[in-house]
Amino acid sequence: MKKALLLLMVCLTAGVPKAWAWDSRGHSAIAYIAERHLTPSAKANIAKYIDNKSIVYYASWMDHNRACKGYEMTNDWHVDYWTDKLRHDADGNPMPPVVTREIKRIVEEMKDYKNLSDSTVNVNIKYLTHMVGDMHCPVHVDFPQSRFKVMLNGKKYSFHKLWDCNVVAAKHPGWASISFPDMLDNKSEEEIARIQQGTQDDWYAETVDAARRAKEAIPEDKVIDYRYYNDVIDIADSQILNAGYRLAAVLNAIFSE
Amino acid sequence: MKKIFFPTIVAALLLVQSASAWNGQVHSGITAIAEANLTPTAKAEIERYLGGRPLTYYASWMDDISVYPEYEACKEWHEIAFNPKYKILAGKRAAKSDDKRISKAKAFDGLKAAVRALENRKSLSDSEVADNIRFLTYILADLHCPGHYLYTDLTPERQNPKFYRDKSRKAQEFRNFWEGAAITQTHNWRANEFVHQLNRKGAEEIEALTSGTMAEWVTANARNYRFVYTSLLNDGNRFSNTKYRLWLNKIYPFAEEQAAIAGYRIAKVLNGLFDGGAEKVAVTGKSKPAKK
Repeated sequence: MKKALLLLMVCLTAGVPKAWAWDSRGHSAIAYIAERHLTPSAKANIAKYIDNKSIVYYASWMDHNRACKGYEMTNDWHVDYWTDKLRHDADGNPMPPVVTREIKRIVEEMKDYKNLSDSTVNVNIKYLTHMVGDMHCPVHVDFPQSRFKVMLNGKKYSFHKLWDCNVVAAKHPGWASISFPDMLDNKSEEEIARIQQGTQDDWYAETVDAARRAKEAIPEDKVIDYRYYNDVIDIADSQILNAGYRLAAVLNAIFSE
Repeated sequence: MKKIFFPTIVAALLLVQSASAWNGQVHSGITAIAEANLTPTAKAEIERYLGGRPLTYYASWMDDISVYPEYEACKEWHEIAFNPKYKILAGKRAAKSDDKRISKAKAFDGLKAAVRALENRKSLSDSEVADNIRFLTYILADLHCPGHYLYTDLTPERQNPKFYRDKSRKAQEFRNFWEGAAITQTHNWRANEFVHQLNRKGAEEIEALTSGTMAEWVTANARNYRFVYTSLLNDGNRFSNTKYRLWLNKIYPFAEEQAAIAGYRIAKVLNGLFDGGAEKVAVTGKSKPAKK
């Protein structure tokens, strides 16, 4: 019995917290889905600006470079507000969520992408590829409220980390990022068009609702087990898929000819 | 008991996922790139020797087989050593070295033997041909891993320093880092993702990267890779998580480029050996100047 418990503890500490989900795997999955729905002209135009690489290659570039000199300001762009204090300005007016504010600013700037420098277009593609994914992650909206702990199998986890890393990894352990389109991308053209409709604010509001449902599935005592993953995996899968379709819509609107 | 058993299985599955060694992962990626660049004739001929299995299936076969006494020699076919004039320290010259790693750095000998065997494969059994295809594929991939290059003028400590990351008191070995983390800590790709992400070069660039002899390739690599033991280590050996990320950002694009080049070169060598219409690659000697 002791041996079984020891094995369990070793497995849990070694396996579960690996960064394998809405961080690099989840972001890559979203970009793979998007890539499948880019128009040929958008795909070709984008490739010119990112050294003929796939957008998937840069799906987590923002995470890898958030501490780099010159990119420090992007550290705030991944979530809605770092703290509740930022929800309102000094005069008490509501502030827009940072992630949608930046996506909208970049989309606006990219309307004239042919007159921007290549390096600006390059970095904007990386930003959009990552942030459209982030804005569909339930714990990246309502961020200050997602920083609580839950007990899973006797161990404390941050709810944020649970969603960033564990939900998808636990439910789809054998899926490589490149498998996600084959597994999830099964909507009809009409459904895809419907998902792609709306503004970034609408998409953000949907994620807020997803965040609410993800939190409501947590019991009051904050103690969960594997059944939690069963309860919320549809939310995760649907957010990943929608993010992929919408990322394609954003990039097609900019780069299609 | 049931309560323990179920999460144990789940956790164990996750552990198995995360414990996949770089060697297997990147060897598979490199071999998949090679496979994607084989001519149809070479691919069919190679798969015939491999019992119908794709080349990528056997990407790490040399690791698996080296535990058997009859394959013991291939334990020394992973690394390559150079003297200060960038001459390959092969065979007996390597064996004479006081440095244990250098004395076993005979990857180029293994490569030469495999190529020679495949050039004369009519005298071999099919299974011997299959062995040499798998040796060649593995060794040439290893010869594009900077961590497998050794330099006689650098101390063993310099070539395998220990380094530390924040919150982790356990030292990591530089050699293990190159075998694992250099790529997969940034891009945790499976074999087909390596192809999707890295097999994107145009015909001209591939031609330029695969011209020359195998000796010229590894000698150029030796010059290009030396910085990993010199300037790259000037950043120190104790990193905060943030500094480690910044350090990693300098490394992974370079490591990925080597993986892609390895894939193209393996394909070029195998195409030359198994497709009569493809250009052959010499092991040693000087290459002819490129046609204008």
